[in-house]
Amino acid sequence: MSRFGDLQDLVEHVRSAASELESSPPPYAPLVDDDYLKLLALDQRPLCHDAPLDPAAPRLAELLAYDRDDGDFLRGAYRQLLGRECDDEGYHYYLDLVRGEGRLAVLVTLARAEEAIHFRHAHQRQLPDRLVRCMRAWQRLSSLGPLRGLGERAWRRYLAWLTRRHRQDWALEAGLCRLLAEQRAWRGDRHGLVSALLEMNRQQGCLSERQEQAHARQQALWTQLATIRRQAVSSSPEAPPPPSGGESLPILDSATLDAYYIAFEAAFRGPEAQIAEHLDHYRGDWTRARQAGQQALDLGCGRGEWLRLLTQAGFEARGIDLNASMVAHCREQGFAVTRQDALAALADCADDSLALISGFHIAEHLPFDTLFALVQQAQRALAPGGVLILETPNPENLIVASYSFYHDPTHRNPLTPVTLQFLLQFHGFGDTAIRRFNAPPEATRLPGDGPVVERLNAMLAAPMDYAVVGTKAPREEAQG
Amino acid sequence: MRLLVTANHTPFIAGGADYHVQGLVAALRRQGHWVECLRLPFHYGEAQIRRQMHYVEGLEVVLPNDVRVDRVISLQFPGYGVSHPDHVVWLMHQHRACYELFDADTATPALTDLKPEVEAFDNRHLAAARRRFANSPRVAERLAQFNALHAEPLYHPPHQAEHFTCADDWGYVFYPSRLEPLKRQTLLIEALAECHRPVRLLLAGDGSQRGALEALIERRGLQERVALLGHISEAEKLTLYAHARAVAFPTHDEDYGYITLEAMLAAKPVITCSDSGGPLAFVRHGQTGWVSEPSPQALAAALDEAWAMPGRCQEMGRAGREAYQAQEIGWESVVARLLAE
Repeated sequence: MSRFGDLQDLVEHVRSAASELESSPPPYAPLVDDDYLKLLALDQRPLCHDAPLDPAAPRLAELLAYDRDDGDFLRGAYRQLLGRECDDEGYHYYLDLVRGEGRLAVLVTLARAEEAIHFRHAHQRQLPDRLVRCMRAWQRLSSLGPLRGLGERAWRRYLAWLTRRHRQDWALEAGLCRLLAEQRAWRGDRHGLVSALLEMNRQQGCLSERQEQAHARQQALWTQLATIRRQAVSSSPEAPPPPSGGESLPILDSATLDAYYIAFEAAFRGPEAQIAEHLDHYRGDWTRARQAGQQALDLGCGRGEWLRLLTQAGFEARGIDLNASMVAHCREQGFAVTRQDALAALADCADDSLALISGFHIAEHLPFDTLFALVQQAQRALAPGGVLILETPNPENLIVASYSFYHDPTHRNPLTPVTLQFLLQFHGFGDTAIRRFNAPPEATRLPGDGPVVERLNAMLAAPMDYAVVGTKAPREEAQG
Repeated sequence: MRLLVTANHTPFIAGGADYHVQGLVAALRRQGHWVECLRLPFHYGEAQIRRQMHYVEGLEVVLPNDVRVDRVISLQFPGYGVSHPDHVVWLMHQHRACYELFDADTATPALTDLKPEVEAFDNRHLAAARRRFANSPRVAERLAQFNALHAEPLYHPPHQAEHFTCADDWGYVFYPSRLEPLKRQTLLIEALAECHRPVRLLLAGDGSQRGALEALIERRGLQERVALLGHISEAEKLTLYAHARAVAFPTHDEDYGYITLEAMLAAKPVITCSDSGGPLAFVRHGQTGWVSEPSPQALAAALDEAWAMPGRCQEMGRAGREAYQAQEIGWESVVARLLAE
């Protein structure tokens, strides 16, 4: 009776069926092309000024078109009665006729033509009653025989009288019909626009759902990758080379050089208060990091501006710096700062022990292998949900890349935002963001417009610093 | 419209109420309204509740910070105590400890003192609302019984309603719910012990009763017939619904109960009890499920019957799905009713 004899079998089976469901691809949003084409068609719809309200049965006033000139009348009459555009010859012939005999007479003549009768039959068109009556009366004239000339004169007088009597009403009626027809067309357009918008709105909903799914998946993948790589390294027979920080990191040992660097900082990075103001840009990041714990480590803490902020934000913040004067400066202010190499300091930290690791303007001082190891160690030492901030000069700004970067003789080479971001992603930071700060003064901008000036300004006026902020995946995502 | 939705907030305790609140806010936003959700911290305990009632009554929701609010929609106690000329209440439930769960014999003095205050609070504010809706007929019934106020039942769909499907019957009865006394998993296990047929039962969810239920299963020697699955993922839930023969929902006086609707969406018959509250608005005995007396023997009879007739279960399930569709339960109609002039 039941497919699974054993209860445990059944539960296993349900679980595996559910895991298939979980790994099935996210729903694909339909393409937006259809709506795009519909909108294009709406945009290109010709504005048709003389379509009658009911194309199958135009009114007499609409055909006479007394709200418009003779030429418009003729072109409209051709379209409604013959179903085609007016040819040159016909146009000139009938224009003379209109001037001599009036529009009503022209309509009668046109409507009696072989072509018009054929068109009416083929397309199920109806003529207005009064026009039909006029056509019958004209027909009867030919049966008058010798009195025909007399009859034609009376006929013309009758048409002239009819026109005089009704012309103003006809003109008004034609105008009104035209407005109504146009209104109807607009209503159709509006409906088309609204439904396309609603559809796009719906599709946008689908797309953002997909984007969220993709983002979550990407985070999980980066984390998995880092784990796999770490396993691969630790299981390889050859031990990885020890970090070569001690040798390649220039240690400015002499007190003179240290003092030089403090003065240099003041001159080029700005006074402490100004830096503190800049650091406030990271408020969102440290608030997030605070959810992951309390321990913070600042690499190359300098004069301690960041440590002060973090302490105020409730962190237990520690700092390290290689510069003895800086270390002394920080300790005077009561901060826990040791004179140590960044990589060594990180290596001393236990796994998952820190909520926040920061390095402001240190990455550009390090050889690449040291930086590589530093990010790797940071990923290891951060608690799930913890945050790594690395700020460095932004070479997207031409002046920074070619000039001001070299103010500091201990800088090695500029790092581009994408390089640094990739380095973090490579080490398993699934959620990374690039933040750009410190736009140069307005005076840097070249005056004027044009593509060349714009292009140059994009390079000259780009923000002068940037940071890559990486968040270690929270515990449950790391398993996904 | 500028709409303010009031609801409770209980940090780190998520449940059906959260989904309900978020679902409403999202649905209102989808229709282009300007919506803010005012979530008020809720804490149990008589003194706390008294303070919260007082606090809510003093809240400014007509012109907060000089911003005009067009309409307030309240869902929970004590949030519906705010005053607004255009106040619509969609009652999820009242403070149940002071109403149908109140037992004069066992109530503490503090709770006995609080009861008339809560009743007066409800009478005052619910009567003042411009329009009253209830989450389910059961909630409306209680409001009429205890406060003599009328409310119109207004249903909303369960989470991810469109994801539920029906698949092959793998031979088990499914009951996903928190393991709590009011959900009465104990009754269901006792019923299983009375069954004549080898009915199998999968219980999903976790809760305070887990230890007691494990002990009961062992005492009755039902280890081969009942499994406690613990917490399950959304995908597991959908799979478990899809392959079940029937869904059991023998809860005690439920307000609304998503389980009934989810089972109907998955085209499964529902086995519930005559005192289960919410489910009774949907389950038709003999057509879309079984409504049994809340005794192990009666419930066992229903389980045996369902177990013996897989084909009948399928028919009932299909009828349930049709009944669900006929009700036209959806967020759009909820919004239309709540925002009607």
